[in-house]
Formats: sequence, structure tokens, C-alpha cells
Amino acid sequence: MQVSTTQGIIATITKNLETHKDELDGLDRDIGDGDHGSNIVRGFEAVLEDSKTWEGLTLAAIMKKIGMTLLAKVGGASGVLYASACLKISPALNKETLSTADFLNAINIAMLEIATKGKSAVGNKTMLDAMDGFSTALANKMQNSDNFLEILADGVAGAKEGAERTKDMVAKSGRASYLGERSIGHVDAGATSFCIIVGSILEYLENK
Amino acid sequence: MKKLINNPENVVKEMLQGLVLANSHLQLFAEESVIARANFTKKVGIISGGGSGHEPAHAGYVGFGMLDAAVCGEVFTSPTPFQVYKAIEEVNQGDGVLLVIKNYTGDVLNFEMAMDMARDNNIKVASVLVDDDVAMENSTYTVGKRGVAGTVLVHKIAGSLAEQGASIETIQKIATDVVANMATMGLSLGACMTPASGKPSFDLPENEMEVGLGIHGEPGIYRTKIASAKDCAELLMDKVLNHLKLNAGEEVCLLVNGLGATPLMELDIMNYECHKILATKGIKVFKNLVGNYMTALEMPGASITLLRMKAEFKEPLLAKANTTFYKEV
Repeated sequence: MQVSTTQGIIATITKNLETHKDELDGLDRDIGDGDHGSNIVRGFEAVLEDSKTWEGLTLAAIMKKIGMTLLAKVGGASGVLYASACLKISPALNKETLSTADFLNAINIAMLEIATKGKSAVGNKTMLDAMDGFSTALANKMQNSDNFLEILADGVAGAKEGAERTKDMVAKSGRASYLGERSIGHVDAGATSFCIIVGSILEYLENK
Repeated sequence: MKKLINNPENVVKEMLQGLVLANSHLQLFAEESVIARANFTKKVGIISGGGSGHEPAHAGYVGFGMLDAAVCGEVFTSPTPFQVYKAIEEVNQGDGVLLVIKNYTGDVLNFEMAMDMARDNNIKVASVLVDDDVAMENSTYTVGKRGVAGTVLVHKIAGSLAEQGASIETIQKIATDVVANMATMGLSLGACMTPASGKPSFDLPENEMEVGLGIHGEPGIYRTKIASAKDCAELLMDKVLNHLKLNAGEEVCLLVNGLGATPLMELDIMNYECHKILATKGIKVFKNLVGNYMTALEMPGASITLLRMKAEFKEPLLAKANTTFYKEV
């Protein structure tokens, strides 16, 4: 993947997170502390700034830089979790060209890392639910398509369904879990930001 | 939103600048938002930190007899591992550094990652996880109980032990035992507002209160009709006493903590009610603290913390301390 593509994707993610910042803060306020949007935007704005220095780097090296920047700038649980996921998938991206299978593999590595570090699981009302929806839809579509954009579009739809499913869940991880049953009826903010991130990758690649 | 701030993004940085200007015993590492003692002595270092918005916690407890440094994250957001590592690196005098961590997923993840960085650089580190909030007791959730106001008592006891030259192992053991013998329960009469969001963290009708809440503006475990100070004290104390299973004749440290906007008048009334309840049970108050020790910005409300006074807690709890907010002369 060309560095300019990665830079373009980051610019799109940052733009879309900025657009949805208040919405993400609002979702987090409902069942958390109301700053997920502000924190994730601060992180990606720093990544966007850092992306000016990426010329000549491999995707693996870039992913590691993204991880370190998010780790340094986001804070909170979501910062460590997103950052750790980037750092963990970096070695798996150490290839000339990436297949859709490599992409799926990377997402699954990220999920495992987030579940382990966050002591969480699918069904606990977290970003993992959106990631699971994404990963499952990718795998399904790969059975009958080898068009990356088609597969990614299904993945994004799956992620949104996964995020939507968090609405009916009782939170069992993170700060929302302190609300117990009262967390039902609210979509998880982390699951929503994941949807925006993968949706932005699709948006950039479709319009490229 | 009505707040005496400039740009919401700069509240933590600007607060810390103001704090060091007023306190010559402190220094600020501005890049990492770390407040530390101006001079370190040869002993085990004690660090705490977490999201900001709980002032005077934790920077207000940096000084002789308590913390060596406080790491200040954004409002209600855990600091990053790099910020925490900076504090460890500065404070370390070769005897190791103990981190007092409130039990929240973000704090635990970021502090543990900083401890890994310290070990990679051959700095001895250990931690104490504070989870004194009994509101969520018996829940099946994976994250466990929260760390709230009782954390200040851990700072006091761990800090005094370090000052007396105790080893990191001893301090960790006693501080962990403090946590095991402590319980906190709180209620709020209204929401708070983070500078970044500018909106109340929840809406609460005029005649209701939230019971069993944390310190991040999140709602409690249930809502109920507002009650008298006597009834509120009973409600909170019931849960705390139930947890600690104190017997007649035992001694406690009683901390009546304000969440930010409740006047001392009301905290003192709550304190009076708590004493009456303890007296009927034959429990003696060894040490009593009343004030805004661990807040949630401008939230109105209070929490009650009891610490069972084991023999080895007494001397360090009463030992001399000289910090911005906590002084023992």
C-alpha cells in the first residue's frame, strides 16, 4: 500500500471523527463520562500531523507509529486499547502487498489483543462487538467475492450492525458496567468510533 | 456552561501552572502534566494519578508524608503510560517506586504499561490497586469495584511509611491491607459538567438523588427520592458497615468526603449523623476527616469512607504530613 493511501485514509478518519466528535461524546456521556469523542479526535489529529513524516516507511512501520502516537495522545482505556491493537498488528502487515485474508487476519489479531488487554469479550458492550461484526462480515463476503471494496463494504455494514447490537446489551466491561441494567438502551461509544474508522477507510478507497 | 476557564482543551495544563505558582514545595513537568516534590529524598517513591477533575486529588497530596508525584490526565481520562513513566523516572531514588492506582480499566492499563517500561529500565516498581467503592458489590461484572475517596487514606499511610524508611514490599503489603479494610459509598444530588462537553453528565429531577455513584459524573446504581441528612447517612453507612462487618469496640477512620459543590455545612451535618450511627454500634472514631478530598468537579453530593483501624495503620495515619491540601502537624 502506498504511503499516500495511508495518509489519505488517516485524513479521512480524522475528518469523520471530528464531524462525529460531539455525537461520540454524547454516547459516552449517556453511560460513561462523555469524552470518548474528544479523546479519540485528539489522538487522530496527532496521527494526522505525524503522517507528514511517513514518506518511505513500510505499512508495518507506519502502523507502529500510529500505535505509539495514539498511546501518547489519547489516554483512558480506549487509547491503550486502540494503540495496543495497532502495535500488535504491525508485524502482520510486514508484506509488499496485502491480501483480503491478511486484512482479516490483522483485524482478528487486533480483536484478540483488545479482548486480552481489556479483559473483555464480544457481548460485553464494547468496541469488540463492532469489530466482531466487521470481522464476521468480512469472512462471509470473502467466500463469494475477491473484490476488496465489496468485501470491505460488507464489513463496514457488519460493524454497524455489531455496534447497533450493543444497544440492547448490559455493559460488562469499562465504566458503563457500573450502571448495570441501566446501560441498556444506549449504543457503546467505542463500538461507534470503530465503525467511523472502518467506514472512513471504505470512503477513502471508494473515492480514490 | 458557566466555568472560569479559557480553552477547554487547556484546563489541566493551566490548572497545574497555577498550582505550582502557589506552592514552592512543588515542581511541574509541564510536558507530561506531572506534579512532583521540588526536592526528593532517599526513600521509596510514592506516585498516584489518574484523570483530572478530582481536585485536590491527587496533586494536592504531593508533599512530605504523602505522595512524591501525581500524574494528571485530561479531565476524567487516565494519563498515558508515557506520563506515568515520567513520574516514575523522576521520583525513583533507587529504593523503588510504589504506584497507588484507582481501579478503573483505563488507569490500570496505562499504569501497568508504565510499570513495564520502568522494569525494562531496571527501576523497581510495585502497585496497590484501590477499590473501596462498595456500591457495585456482588455485581458479576469483570471490572470490579471502583477506587474512590478512600484512596486518600492509602496515600497518607503509604506516604508516612515511606517517609519512615519502610521497604517497598512492606509499604505495598500494608497499603494493600488498608484497601482490604476500607469501604466507601456515595450519593449525589446533581450532575457535574466536564469542560470539554459543557453539558451536565445526567439529568436529575429536583426531588431525586443518585445513590452509589462514582467520581466521574456517571449516574449511580439507582435513583430515589431525596432524603434528610440523617436518612442519607444511614443509607450510606448501612452499606459500608455491612461490608466491613465491624464489631463493637473496634476503631475506625471516618472520612466524610464532599464531591465538589456541597458546602462544608452539609458535610459537617453528615459527619454528625455518622458519629451518632457509629456510637449506637459502639464503634469508636480514631480519626475523622471532613472535606472535599476526592471530588467530581462541581458535583453536589458526598461519600462516606470507613477504614478499620488495625494497629499498624495508626501511627502512619497520624504521622506528620505537609502537602498542599492534607496537613498533619
